[in-house]
Amino acid sequence: MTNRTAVLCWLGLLALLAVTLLAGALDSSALRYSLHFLCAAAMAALVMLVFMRLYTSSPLLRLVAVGGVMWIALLILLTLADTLTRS
Amino acid sequence: MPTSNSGRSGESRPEVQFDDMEQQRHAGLLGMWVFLLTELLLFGAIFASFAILRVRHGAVFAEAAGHLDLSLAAVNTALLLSSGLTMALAELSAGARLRRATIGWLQATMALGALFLAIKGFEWYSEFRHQLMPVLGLPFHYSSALAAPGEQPVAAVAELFFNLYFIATGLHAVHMLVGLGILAVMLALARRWRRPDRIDRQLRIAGLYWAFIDVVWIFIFTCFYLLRA
Amino acid sequence: MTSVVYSENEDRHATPEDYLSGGWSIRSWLLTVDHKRIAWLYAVSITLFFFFGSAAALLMRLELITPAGDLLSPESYNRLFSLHGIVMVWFFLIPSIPATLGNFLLPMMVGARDMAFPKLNLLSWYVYTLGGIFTIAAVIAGGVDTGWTFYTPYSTLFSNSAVLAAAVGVFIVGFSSILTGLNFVVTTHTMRAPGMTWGRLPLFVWANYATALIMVLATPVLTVTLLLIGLERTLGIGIFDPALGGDPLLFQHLFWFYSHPAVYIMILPAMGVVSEIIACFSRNPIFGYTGMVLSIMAIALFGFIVWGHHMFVSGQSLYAGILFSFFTFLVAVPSAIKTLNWTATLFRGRISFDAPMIYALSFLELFTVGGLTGIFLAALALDVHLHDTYFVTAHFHYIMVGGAVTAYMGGLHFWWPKLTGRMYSRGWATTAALALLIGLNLTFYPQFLLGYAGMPRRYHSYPDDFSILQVLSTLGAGVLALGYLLPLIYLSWSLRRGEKAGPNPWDAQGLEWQTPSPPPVHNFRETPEVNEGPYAYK
Repeated sequence: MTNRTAVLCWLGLLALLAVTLLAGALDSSALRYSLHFLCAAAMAALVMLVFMRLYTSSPLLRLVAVGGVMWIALLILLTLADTLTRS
Repeated sequence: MPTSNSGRSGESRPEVQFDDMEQQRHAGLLGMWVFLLTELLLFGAIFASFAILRVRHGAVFAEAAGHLDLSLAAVNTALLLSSGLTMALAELSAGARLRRATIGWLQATMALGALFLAIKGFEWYSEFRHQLMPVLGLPFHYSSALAAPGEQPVAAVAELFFNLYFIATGLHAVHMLVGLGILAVMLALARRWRRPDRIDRQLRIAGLYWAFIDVVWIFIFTCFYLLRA
Repeated sequence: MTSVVYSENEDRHATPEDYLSGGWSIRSWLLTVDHKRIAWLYAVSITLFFFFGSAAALLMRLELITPAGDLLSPESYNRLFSLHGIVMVWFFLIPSIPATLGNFLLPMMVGARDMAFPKLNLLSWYVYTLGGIFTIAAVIAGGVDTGWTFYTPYSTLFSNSAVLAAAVGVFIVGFSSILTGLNFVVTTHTMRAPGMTWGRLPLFVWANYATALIMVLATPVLTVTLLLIGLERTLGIGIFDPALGGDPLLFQHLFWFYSHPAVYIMILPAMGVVSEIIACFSRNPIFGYTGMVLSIMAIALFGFIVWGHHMFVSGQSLYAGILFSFFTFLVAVPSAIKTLNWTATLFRGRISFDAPMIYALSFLELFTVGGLTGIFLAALALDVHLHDTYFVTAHFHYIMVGGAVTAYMGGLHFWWPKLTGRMYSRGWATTAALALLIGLNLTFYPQFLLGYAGMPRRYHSYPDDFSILQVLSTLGAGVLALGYLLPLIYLSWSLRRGEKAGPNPWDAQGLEWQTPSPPPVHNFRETPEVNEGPYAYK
């Protein structure tokens, strides 16, 4: 990470924030929600790759980050599997 | 037994359990990442609870989200993202051994973080004023455009939304406070500038924590403020 | 196996004194950062809690000698089994092998001088102790009657017992687990000696590493769940209250997301111990090392996707139930592979029946019975009949006591000469090991029959027909108690009067056996260099 990449990352984050706020004006809630989550994921990815230096980190650290995301997804998805299929 | 950890050249000697500085650095970074993993699962349980209840009470939660102050939260998000930048710049300054820049960027980060908390506090206060803060057993006054959907009154389910909101933002605020504490310690160390290489290492580790809190906020902001009707 | 490699860190002129002779002051123990001393701090604490939890069990078994509920009131009985569960799970089993044997041996087995974060290690013990204090306070305040599982809405809305104090105690002790796990993960990744590749690690290290991963990934969810119980109970936030739009089943999902992997926290280290013992006392390398490693990691992984099997009859969706049932069948496979591999290790070995081996062989029988009965419970249709009966109780006690505690005892007996520099009485040790084996089977086998016949768990009175089985079970508990009390006596006795042990009394393989008994403060005079795999038995 250099000063330049840090600033670019920040600009990218603000841009994504603008996009997600603007998306709130759309009609379809499905589209809106998808955009919100996509922007959130993109912002999180930028912070992790640049500010948390995952882009230049060892494979082990990247594995920890990916593993964490997978685990939280596991918790949410499997629990939802019950909620969504209860009659 | 060596009493100080700095060698002749001013470079640090590793702690006794490590063979060299590279191993210590590696262990420190991995240790922080594993700790952040536990933090992710911590907030994860809250997000899981939110997800389940959101699915069950979609309409009420969406409407309740509309009662939150989006503009304030958007400003707060921008502030926090900017604090991520200033923290990164502080790290880079320490890496380049620039004392004044490190101090300056650290102060900026703390200021942004404190401002975030101040705005959050104001937001909570105004929710309290509007009687939308049921958490401490306070009266909850909620007006809804929805007809009562299920077995529970709309106000009760909306109360659930607000309770979750306060728990999530409260837990996040606690983490912010801890972060500010860590930054204060780093600032004091940076002022003294006794062991720049150590400051560099520790700032990198602290920076991971600060950036992580940023990531958590991004999702709290998205889930609670943006998923409106 | 070793060659001289100097690290700049070591004072090459000092003669390393052993870690015990460095002082017996309170300060030297309570402010130590030596992983070996911290292991002892934990050993003393968990032993105290073990006997505390056993006392509760003893009272319960006394009550159950007669069909009528004549010794205790139903409320007292509820508080006793809750106490038993909370203490045994969180204050004994979860820390047991990792915090004692793991803390002591992991750095040595990877060739390190200490853990990556020695101060965090000490902190984890203090946090454990703080959690213990809160839990004891809960007991003094009358205890909890919710069961160790704290199910809502009873725990949040209706129970009049010390739920909050107990929840706080467990909340705190969770952080101890997290710190230990973090230390183990980082140590294993970053502090292996030169030449100690992942493929050369003893299975005890792999097992504790996988356990540490589970600790780190699962415990935070429990932490938040307990926080939510506390908030629901004090502030009525409604998250688990159906009348307010909440979902009581959400609690169960969050609780079991932790508590199922928690049982793998309890059994994986035990499996690690068994591997070390069986290899040594059959003088054979472990059969199928790669399969064993993959099985360890598979158990840790699959352990995270089966939690719904605790909720088959709770109102969970049938489709989720089918999914969880399927994965539960799957998770049995790596356990079976391990059991078969241990058995294969014995083949054509030169087997000696010292106490550690008796414990390890007992583990094979007990874990197999416990594991197979888990398959009964994994089947949806069977579970409808067996859920909340003594069948379940028998199943998990076979694994927890028959598996985890037996292996803990075996490990203690195996590494005792290394830890203390003393050997214990072989005759008494064999007696105790046999008492444990007989006692365990006598206590818990009848419980399978009771459960299958329909006796519910957590009941303090029962129909007369069940009498003979209950009496047998209580008798077994008496024999079991002998199996625990005897080692307490002869192991303590050996500390002063036991025969002095050399560095490797069992002629075992492993870096820890290359050091003097007891080991010096920083374990190795020089950082070892490893050039062969583990279990180089001939």
